[in-house]
Amino acid sequence: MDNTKKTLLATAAVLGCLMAAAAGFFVRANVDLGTAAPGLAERSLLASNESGAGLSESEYFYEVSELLRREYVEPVTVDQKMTDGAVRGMVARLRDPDSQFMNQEQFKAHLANMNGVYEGIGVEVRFEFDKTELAKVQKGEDPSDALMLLPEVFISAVLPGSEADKAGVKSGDRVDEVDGKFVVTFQDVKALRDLQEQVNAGKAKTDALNALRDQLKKKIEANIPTGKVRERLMVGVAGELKLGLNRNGTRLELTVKKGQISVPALVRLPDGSYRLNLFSGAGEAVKEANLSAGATLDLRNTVMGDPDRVLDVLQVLAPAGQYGVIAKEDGKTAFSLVTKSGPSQAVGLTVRVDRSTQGAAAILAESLKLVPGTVVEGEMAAPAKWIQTLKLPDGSGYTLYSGSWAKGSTLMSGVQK
Amino acid sequence: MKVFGNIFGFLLAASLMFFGGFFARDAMAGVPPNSGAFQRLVGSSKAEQTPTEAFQHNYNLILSTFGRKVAPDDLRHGAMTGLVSSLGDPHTNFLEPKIAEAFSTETRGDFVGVGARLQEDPLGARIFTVFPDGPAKGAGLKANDVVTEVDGKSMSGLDTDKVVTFIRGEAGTPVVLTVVREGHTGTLKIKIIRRKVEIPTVESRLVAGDIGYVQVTNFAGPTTVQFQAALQELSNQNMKGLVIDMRENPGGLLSTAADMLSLFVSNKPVVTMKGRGGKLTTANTKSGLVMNLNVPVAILVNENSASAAEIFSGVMRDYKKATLVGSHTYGKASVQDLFTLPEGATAKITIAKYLLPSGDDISRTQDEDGQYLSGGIRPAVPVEFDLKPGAQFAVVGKDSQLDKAISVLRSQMPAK
Repeated sequence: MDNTKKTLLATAAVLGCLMAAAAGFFVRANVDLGTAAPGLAERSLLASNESGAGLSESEYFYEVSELLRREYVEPVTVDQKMTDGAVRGMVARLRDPDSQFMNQEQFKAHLANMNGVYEGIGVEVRFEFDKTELAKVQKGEDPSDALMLLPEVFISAVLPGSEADKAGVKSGDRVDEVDGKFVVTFQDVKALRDLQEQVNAGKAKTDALNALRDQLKKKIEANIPTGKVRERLMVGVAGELKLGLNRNGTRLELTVKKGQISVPALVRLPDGSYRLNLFSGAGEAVKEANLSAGATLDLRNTVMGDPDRVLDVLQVLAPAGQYGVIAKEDGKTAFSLVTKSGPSQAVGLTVRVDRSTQGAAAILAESLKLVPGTVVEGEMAAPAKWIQTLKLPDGSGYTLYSGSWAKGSTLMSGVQK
Repeated sequence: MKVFGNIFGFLLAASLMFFGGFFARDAMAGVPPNSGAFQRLVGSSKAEQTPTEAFQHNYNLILSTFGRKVAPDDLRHGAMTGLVSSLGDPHTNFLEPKIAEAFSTETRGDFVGVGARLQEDPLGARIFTVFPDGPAKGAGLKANDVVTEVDGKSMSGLDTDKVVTFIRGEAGTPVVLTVVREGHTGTLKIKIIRRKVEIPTVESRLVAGDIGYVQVTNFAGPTTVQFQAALQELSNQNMKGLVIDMRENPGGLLSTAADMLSLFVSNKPVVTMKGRGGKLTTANTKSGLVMNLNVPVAILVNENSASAAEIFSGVMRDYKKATLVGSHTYGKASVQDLFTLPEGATAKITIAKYLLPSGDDISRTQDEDGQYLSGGIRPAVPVEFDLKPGAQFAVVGKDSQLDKAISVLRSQMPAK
């Protein structure tokens, strides 16, 4: 070998080694990204990329997590906790009262709820927002005041036989205080604004305004965030809660023990009617009760329930067919509610509903309305929302509002088949 | 044989380099090599989603099955906000493009406006101060003027923040303020052309006859020069004591705090920073800049004095250059750096924690509802701001903390 050849070979060897190192670097990037974004290796990322055009979500996620790993003062492991954080952030960004992130403990309790097992005081809660403000932020506008986005918290269902039931908590009660901490809501801010306007118009005294302002300030200093209210009421089996409630304008103070209660999906009430909660096993329970001769289903004071149980119940009570659709707010159909089997004749049903009939229970009620011969007693608070439950790899999870029940167009042909 | 040896050697070197590259990310981050990543490479890990895959899966799911329209960008920003806050550090944040812009204005200390600070007043908004170099000064606006209308629109009953949004606008455009001035009958209309204004971060005056009062609202780039000028001016006016007001000061640039401290202590450690992997670095004050004011100094602090404001106050206390008066400080014992991300976003990341020269760690702890538990600096002379009717911030006789600071200074002055 002459010298030129030797030099060439040595250079090639060094280059080969360098390329191997580079390959290792990029293979690692692809391994961490998984199947999420093939082709990352061809691009150099943050260092040179200013416009970020075409950077996919997973690439962005990966680079931000790597940045934290490289720069944060304490050692950082890129793990599912980061995924949780990202999903929590996305769900929060939806600004939707029915889409909520839950940590492992909360999600475990939520899954148990779907099976009829309730922790805490044995209630379900619901948030009510100021409609104008909520519509504003959902359109991407700023709220008139961040405090105007604080919802009111209501008890939407009290599980029969639960500690809350024994202590006299009722569905429809507003939760104002939990263990001496205040639930600050948009109503507090509204009251302050209204008084401010009256003072400006000379119809009220400044002293009153100052007093109200001080009162609100104290409440804010000792406030409990609304998300925490749900957790205090619905998670944990030990201890007790001191609740400050408002029932039709009257203030109530109740001390309620925490515990665990298991509620069957179908319960026969003293008047011969059946209270149905859409827990797992709801379909089987309805089947076993053998309601073919007709029955009264009570869907009042029931929990939101698991929407996946709606079809299970429908195919026991109604002939195979289509019972409406779940439509997104832009009118597009997300999916249809179709049963593939069922009795040849509709069961003659009376369905009792009221404003507390929500979520999956409300969807069931709407679907049953389409079954010939069904009598519906009472009015629901529209719309009937489909709320999915989604799980994350580490055991946390979230709920996601996916659309509301609508009649859909192919309905009649579906039922008659 | 020799050729085989060479090829073998090359393959060995190349594969070593490959793994060097493979684990380079771990080395750069200063953590042990990630065995999980290697297992995924050789395919032994059982189809478990990587964090990135799990994220992408849920992103797609939310985007396609959420019941309402959602902008992909909005969702992405939400995700990054959540990802960054998953570290549990309130000071490590993802700043969205629009927020990132506002943040850089804040630390640069300039914006477009008329150059005045407002205070609430039942009639509208009262002019608290007129900045020395702003257009409002040239147009004849004066402190204590009450703005009742902006461009003919009534401002009565509006929040000061709201009034500000009416006054601000694009550079070069005019705004007409209708003001009520004490000792003047009727209203005045003042036309001001908006332009870029440097927000003074230092405001000073003599109070209670012979006490110098310097309010520092932020540690921005120009703050040191403004601070030094204010001290010089007050010294020329023969002040007998000095109050430095750090209340409501959220901090800012650490280098500014060190420069300002150089006016009091020469070549002394200011703060020890503990960086990644426990590496310690100490920042010192500069030498040869000390102003010999020869008057007692009191520093006012409260729960909203944070970061650089706490370092400044803590160091002054540790070197016995000042008495701290007020309520406990916030307790932000960490240093952040800004990192540019694609699409105009920014990540603010805690890169170090700091200790005061005395070795004190002042990190705040709070309960799950965000209520203060401990941390911050406890002033030697604790006194709360008294919210009695007529109380006014930074006004002698109406500000219980300022009054206390002045009486502390009087007790420290040499007897006549």
